[in-house]
Amino acid sequence: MLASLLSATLHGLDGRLIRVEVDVAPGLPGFTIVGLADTALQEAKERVRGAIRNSGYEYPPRRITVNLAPAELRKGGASLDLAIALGILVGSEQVAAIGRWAVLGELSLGGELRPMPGLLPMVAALARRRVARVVVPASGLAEATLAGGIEVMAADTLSEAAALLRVTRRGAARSRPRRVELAAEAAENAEEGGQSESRPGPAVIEPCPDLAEVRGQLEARRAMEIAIAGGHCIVMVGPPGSGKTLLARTVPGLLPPLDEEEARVATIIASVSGSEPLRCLVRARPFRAPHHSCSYAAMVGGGPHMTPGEVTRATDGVLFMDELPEFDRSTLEALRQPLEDGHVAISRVGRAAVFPARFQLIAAMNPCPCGYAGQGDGRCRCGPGTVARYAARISGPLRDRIDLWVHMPRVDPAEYVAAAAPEGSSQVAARIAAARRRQLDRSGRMNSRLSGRALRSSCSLGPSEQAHAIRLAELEGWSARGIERLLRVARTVADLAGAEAVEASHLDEAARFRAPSWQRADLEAVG
Amino acid sequence: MIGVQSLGPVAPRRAAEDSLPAAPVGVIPDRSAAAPRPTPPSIAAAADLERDAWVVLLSVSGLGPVSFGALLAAFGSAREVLSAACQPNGPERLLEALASSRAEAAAANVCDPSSSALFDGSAATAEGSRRASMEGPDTTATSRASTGRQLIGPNLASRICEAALDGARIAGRVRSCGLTVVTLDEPEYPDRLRCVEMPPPVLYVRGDPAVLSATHAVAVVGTRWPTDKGRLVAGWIASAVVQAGGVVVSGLAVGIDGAAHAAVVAESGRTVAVLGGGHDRLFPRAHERLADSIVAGGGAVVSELAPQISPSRGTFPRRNRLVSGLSDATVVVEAGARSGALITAGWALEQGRECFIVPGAFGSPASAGCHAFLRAFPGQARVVSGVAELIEDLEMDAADMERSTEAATSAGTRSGTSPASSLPGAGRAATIAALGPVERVLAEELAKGAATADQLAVRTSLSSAAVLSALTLLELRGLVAAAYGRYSPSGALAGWAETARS
Repeated sequence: MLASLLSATLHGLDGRLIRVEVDVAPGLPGFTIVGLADTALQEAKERVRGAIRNSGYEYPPRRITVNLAPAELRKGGASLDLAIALGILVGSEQVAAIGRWAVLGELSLGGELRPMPGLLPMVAALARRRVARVVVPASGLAEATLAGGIEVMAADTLSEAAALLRVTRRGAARSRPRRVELAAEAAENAEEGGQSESRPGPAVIEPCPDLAEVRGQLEARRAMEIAIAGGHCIVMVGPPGSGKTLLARTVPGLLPPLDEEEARVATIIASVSGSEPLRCLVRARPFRAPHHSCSYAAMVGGGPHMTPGEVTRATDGVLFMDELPEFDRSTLEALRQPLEDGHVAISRVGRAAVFPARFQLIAAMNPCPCGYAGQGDGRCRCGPGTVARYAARISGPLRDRIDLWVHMPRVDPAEYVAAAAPEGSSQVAARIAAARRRQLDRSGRMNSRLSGRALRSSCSLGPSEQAHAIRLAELEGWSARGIERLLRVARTVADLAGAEAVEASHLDEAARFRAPSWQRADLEAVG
Repeated sequence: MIGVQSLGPVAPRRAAEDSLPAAPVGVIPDRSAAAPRPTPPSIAAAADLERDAWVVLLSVSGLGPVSFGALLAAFGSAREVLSAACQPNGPERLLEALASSRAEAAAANVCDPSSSALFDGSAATAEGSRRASMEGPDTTATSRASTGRQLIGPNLASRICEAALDGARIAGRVRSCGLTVVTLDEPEYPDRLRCVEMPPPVLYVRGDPAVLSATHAVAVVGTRWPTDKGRLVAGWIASAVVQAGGVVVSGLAVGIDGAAHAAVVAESGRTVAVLGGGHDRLFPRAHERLADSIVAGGGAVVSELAPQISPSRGTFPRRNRLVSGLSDATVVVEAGARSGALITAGWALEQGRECFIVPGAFGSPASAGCHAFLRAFPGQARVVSGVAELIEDLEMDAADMERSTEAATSAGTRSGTSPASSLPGAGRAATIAALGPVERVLAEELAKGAATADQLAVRTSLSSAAVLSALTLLELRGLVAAAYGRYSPSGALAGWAETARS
């Protein structure tokens, strides 16, 4: 007998509706899956066979053919396990056929249902296709209900799922205690701020060091404040132990929570790339810190399932790259498109995906291979060529996309002890939030995303400021791009100061954070 | 001694007096002793041809001052050498002529050329010069004399012949570099250098060769890895020397050398950079801009090596003897235990020049070499106890300064001298007075030495935003140089002034 069920697979960040047709026909016992199934899906045969036998059902000794439609779409992952198993049960007439239902879930050999990554976008895709109900693994119920627009039911095992179908068909499912209990839990989650789109939920903030723990480094603290306020990319340059990484780790505490739209995107990305099912909407801005051994595909995304990479997982948040020059050249170059366009397009044979990648790059690096260049203590023995070559690992085009550069010299121990307690994260975060609001009210986007005409209209300079900007630019030998960078940063400085117009002192401060020229000879300062 | 050493060769003093009773002043007959006379055009043309011949001969790798001197002695002039080398059996001719000339010389016992074969072949040079500078010159000389090796072998002879056939191209290339060639034969050749042991036969000069013969020349040298303080002191000494009317000689290396040159350039003074390689292979590349501004400021960049020769391990010690040889005195600012600056200091003593050492803090690794040198040469190397004291010890004073400034201005070599920069301290005070209130506070703080923005903010009790924007303004005025998060005084702020000594 032929059974037909609805299910979904993940394609990039999107779910795709899949119709699973199972034909249980007389003939030599066999099990075939057709419809571009990948390895994980081919292995579903074994999982399904085990799950059916161990759930107290009979595995039919007949010829089983599974067709996954649409045929031309590559399908992967284990989300179709439950649909295939139920299809076999329906096909062998152990369970009654069902209507426009969708089922999602990975099966264990014992028949338990497991959640899988990307449950949220899959349920959302089903909802878009006007599927009335979906059965999901119980542990993924909270995440699935975030999608909205679809009735979600939870099951822990294959037999529970089968029972759900049976009773629902008889119209009695709604009173089943199990489901009510789960629904209550879901409602509870919604109370916490999970599901409801209108109510802001508590941001999930991981413990991060407070800015007050960073002693000294006033220049770098200021640079970081400007960078976060305007969403600018920033690179910190300094010797080991100067506090670059600590400063970067304080960033999550400075970032304002995500807004509704951003939270939706962040939740989908977290669902696709996470291993644990989500309980509520993701409200905290992501902070990703890949190690410098990070591969190209891990950075931009890709792989057999078109998995989103670090740039996508950092969307609307921060990508922190420690030891920037130690990353592979190709990995670094791959950052150029997302930094420019805010998304990354990945193409493989027969597949293509576009992932959002609007992240703010925060990077740290040593000034030279030994790390101590320019500390004025004669400790660094790197020649001028070595220093320049080390810096040249960051190519010009990438360097052009970085708005702020800040040096973090070693902190004098005496100063470390004597320094007054600096401002804490909360004060700085308040200034940052105010500056961000000002930017969004004015131009609808962050200052770091301003360019061309939008930039000029946002920071119109008076005649004397204009002359000053030109002087700054001429003296430093800046390019047109460099001047835009100066204006963008100056705009943020003005926003932090609460000023309507960009003033000369804002320009001066912005000019402090320009890209260094990486010539050791600059220390000798040719007059 | 500086006052004495204004004209003509002066007999080497100090170390030279003790150890080298009859140091050969050069194997080349000193023809410039005769006063320069106006030369008729044909003679001038002949002089040009001869100079080209020198250039061609000295472009041969492995041919140093000694073997060149032997060739000149054998043939009479460089042109003769080349014309002999252009003959079909050139190498044999060269060797024959050399052999007969040597036999004559030995018979006449005029001079033993091999006794000073120190600078032939670069591999032997580093070792040789180090020993020479540290142990005294006579050991090397005598050991070489006892070996009595052949100066020019068949390989070198055939290389000479190849160069001779290619002569026009080699001379053309040097000319196309825009370099002035000064030979030992010419009156423009600096007298100070003429009287050192083994003077280079040819100097390739970019800029004004006259600056090489300036009245007062002081070498300021030191480590390539200085501390902030060392960099600042090098700048102070260099600008004080310039303000007293002197010329600063150094080696264009990064570190102390660069700081000294840059301070002079900032003072619009004149400075001489002696390269460790040829002009086409300027090293370090990072100092290309500095070299340009040295030349633009009326100074000179000098090398004894043909333009295409790359600097190598051995060429730097060799260069160091020119640094000390072109100067009346050598000042070592900071030197690690094995610093090349100590070789320069050793040469200075050996060449009978004054040698000053800036002492560093007890136990400071950047000054370990300075201390070792002071200990090794008690009574010869002198201590720098302050910038004003150094100028006094150098016997330079305001009278000299005015005289030399007038001379330089009338000669038109000094470009863009501002009246402020010629008066010690006055320029700085005027510059600081012209600043806004915030910048003035910062400038006064920075004049004490390099600092980070943190330190400046703490010391001046200004907000970090105010410090940062004021630093940009100071940078615009060229008073601050920023590197690696540290802000060092530059321009008028970095120059030596009485106030800076506090």
